[in-house]
Amino acid sequence: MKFRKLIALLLASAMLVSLLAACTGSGSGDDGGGGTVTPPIVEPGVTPDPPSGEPSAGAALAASLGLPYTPLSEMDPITFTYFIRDPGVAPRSDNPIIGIIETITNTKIEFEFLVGDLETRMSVMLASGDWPDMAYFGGEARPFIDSGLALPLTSLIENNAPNLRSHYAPWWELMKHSDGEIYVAEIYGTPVGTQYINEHWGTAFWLQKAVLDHFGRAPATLDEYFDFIREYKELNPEIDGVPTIGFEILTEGWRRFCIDNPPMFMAGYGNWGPAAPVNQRSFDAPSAAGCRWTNDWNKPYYQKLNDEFHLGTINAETLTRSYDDYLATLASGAVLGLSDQLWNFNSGLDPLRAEGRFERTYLPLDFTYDGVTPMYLDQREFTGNNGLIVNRDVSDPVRLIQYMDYLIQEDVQRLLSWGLEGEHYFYNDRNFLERSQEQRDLQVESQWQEDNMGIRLYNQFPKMQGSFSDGNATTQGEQPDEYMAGLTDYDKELFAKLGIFNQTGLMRSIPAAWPAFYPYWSMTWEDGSAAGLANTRITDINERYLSQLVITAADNFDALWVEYVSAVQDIDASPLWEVIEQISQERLDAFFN
Amino acid sequence: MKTKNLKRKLIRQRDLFFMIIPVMVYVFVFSYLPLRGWTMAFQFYRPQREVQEWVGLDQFRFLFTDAAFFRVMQNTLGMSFINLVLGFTCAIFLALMMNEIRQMKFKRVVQTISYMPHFLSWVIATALISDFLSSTGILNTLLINIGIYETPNIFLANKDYFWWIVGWGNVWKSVGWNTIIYLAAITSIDPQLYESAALDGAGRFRKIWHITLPGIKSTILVLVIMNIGWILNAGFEVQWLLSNNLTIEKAETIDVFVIRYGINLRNYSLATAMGIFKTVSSIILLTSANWLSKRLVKESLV
Repeated sequence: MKFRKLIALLLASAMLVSLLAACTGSGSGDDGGGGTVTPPIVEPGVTPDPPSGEPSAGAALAASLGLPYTPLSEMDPITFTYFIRDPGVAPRSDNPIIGIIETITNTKIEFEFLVGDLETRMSVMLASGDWPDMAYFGGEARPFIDSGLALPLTSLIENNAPNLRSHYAPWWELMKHSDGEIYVAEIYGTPVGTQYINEHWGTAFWLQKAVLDHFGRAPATLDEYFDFIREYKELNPEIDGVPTIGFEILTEGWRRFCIDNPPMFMAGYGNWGPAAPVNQRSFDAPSAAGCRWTNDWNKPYYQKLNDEFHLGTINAETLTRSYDDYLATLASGAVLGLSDQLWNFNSGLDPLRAEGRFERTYLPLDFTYDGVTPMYLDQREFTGNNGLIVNRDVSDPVRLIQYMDYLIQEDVQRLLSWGLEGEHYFYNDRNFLERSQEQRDLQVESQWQEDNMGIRLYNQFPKMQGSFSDGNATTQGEQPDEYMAGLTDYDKELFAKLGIFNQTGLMRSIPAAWPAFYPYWSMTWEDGSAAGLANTRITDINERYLSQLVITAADNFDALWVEYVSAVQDIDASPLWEVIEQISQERLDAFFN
Repeated sequence: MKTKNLKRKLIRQRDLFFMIIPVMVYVFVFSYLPLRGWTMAFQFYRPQREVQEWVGLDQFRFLFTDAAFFRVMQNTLGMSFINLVLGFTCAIFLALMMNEIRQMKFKRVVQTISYMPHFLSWVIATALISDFLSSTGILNTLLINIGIYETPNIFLANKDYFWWIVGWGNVWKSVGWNTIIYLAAITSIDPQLYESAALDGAGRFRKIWHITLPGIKSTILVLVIMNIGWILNAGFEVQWLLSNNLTIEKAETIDVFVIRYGINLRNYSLATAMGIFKTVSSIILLTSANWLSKRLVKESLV
């Protein structure tokens, strides 16, 4: 009897196993790019002319579009894989501009986007040593460098990529890792020419345009900001059938800067990261960076959030939302205010723009505590690690570098960012790049851009940010005239009513010049080090307490605050401060080198 | 003579042996092969290095002296206990109820619907659970409309509810599936027992109590013993996906801790040390539960 039951059990578990096996099939695949034929390598340091005789299809296309010639046109097709640390969709295969680049360079880039959790994904890549030809990890590439998985780029760039070398010239020494080699091809921190700021994409308190429209002016303080929200919410308990939400706070994963960072800005600091030096304007290396979590300047902000929670401006549900839920909530148009960085929530506003509900989008505001100068605006800052790294096992590193070198040329950059002359833009009589209203309307939707423009390549490879040598801005959004002309009628009217000229008009911050060791959020440490552990412990405490501080009973706030501060102080954070001091000194040394 | 008998027996049962081969391959590949990685727990392992640094028991020392460890253990055991008790009582209860249904069509419908959620991944299941519990979800709407609450209760914002949400979520997801095995056991009970009980004047509840339950007792015990071995596996996906900053204090299980302090900090050695700890505890728990059941009720797994 018993035996038969055991068999029944085993059968049941065998069924389970076969189910599991069915789910985990198709695990193995080819390692990508391994089977391609290596093309002839170009002599380093020599810029070849087009070969005489019949030009190749790529060379002919480049010539017909007025683009520079590249020897890649004569080579066999090759494919490189590229991992991006964010969720996303690969550009369509019929994207015309990416198609032009593929024809000219015979190089295809296969994008692979993040699915699931980034940290876990990276750890698996590291442990197995199996990862795509290139990867963009934001500022997190360090473990790949330390474990020897990343390819040193220094001599590759010097020998094969004259354009890239001169693009990087001002930062060449800063780019070097402690072993003297360059591993990261910086994408975002290498500005060229004039920097036009029409739009703020960083941290701010964002207020719905409809609220600003209603009051006809911007609130002057954080208190008034919440007064506006509360009053508007009472007048409009529902927005298009959805209950109005006063203020949203995102707390999921690494995006928790939405709850962590506002007090730092309130106290007049820039976007430093996990620590901020006591005197942030001093250009000497800080002797001891202060932990910013226990500072007195944090408390009033969370106290304010707690007050607003009890007044009903903040709903506890906002603290339970995942990033996807958060974007969906913003897309409803019912959220009046939030503190975030625009690049983080911009995609949530796409549906609103598509529906023409521009009054439900936002303008940035930069509040501070009394008497403190706001420091919300950054110039583009070199980070040293916000770029792509290349796999040491890539099939043809020279070709990859030559490809990147081709993309960074001004004419190609213009093609990727602005599109084709005549079709997407034209030169006006003052020799400025301009789009017709019809061309402009097409660009409003980010999905259309993804499908029809070269922005994916522009965004994911070393790029020119600022202006071209002829003074034109590198992107449409930065071209002042184009920005003004591209405003919707609603924005034009609202801006006139508020007396401002662009999206940043309500902000009082002036772009700051920071010391060479700014910012600390881009610093990295060795895997498994005490500094990393201390940082995780601090994050843990913040996770457990900051959200609770928002929703705790009003008379319990002070007690919980004391508990929080002592919990942070109990952590031995000295390894973290040591790393910060060391990194400050390294960055200063590289800067003056 | 004896070997010949055994041989004949083996040949006669060859179908069964073929059926068990995939399971054995599975166990070997996924449970025995990875054991060679246990050495990592005694190193400061860094990927892609030829030579690793040996650190003895440092990783274990860190684990057992860390304040977070006790919180995490508490959460794991708490949620496991709730899962165990709720899971068994609900599944047995449902199986008994279903066994009493005389209308076969209705019984099939109930069975199909109740085991359907088992095939959902936790990603989808947690999305359904959080929709169900949200301020505009069905539960809040119901409670407000019958006048129990005036304003919605944000269930996922209260850390004291979290263990129970996970417990009932597990019940919803797996109760139907778990009844299958009991229903199978019930069918093997001799119908004559019921007939003679009826002659003695036993009603439905008497029959359930004196015939059905004792009839499936050994199945229940085998399952309890096996599940006790799993007690440190309170789950990972459900806590990882359903928790938020407000509930993290009660939601962090051993597996979540391993992800955060092991995998994500890329301290693979710590993650391995935790794995060893879990395995060794499981073996001890399983054998002692087995021993205890052998002593108390004369039933055991091996």
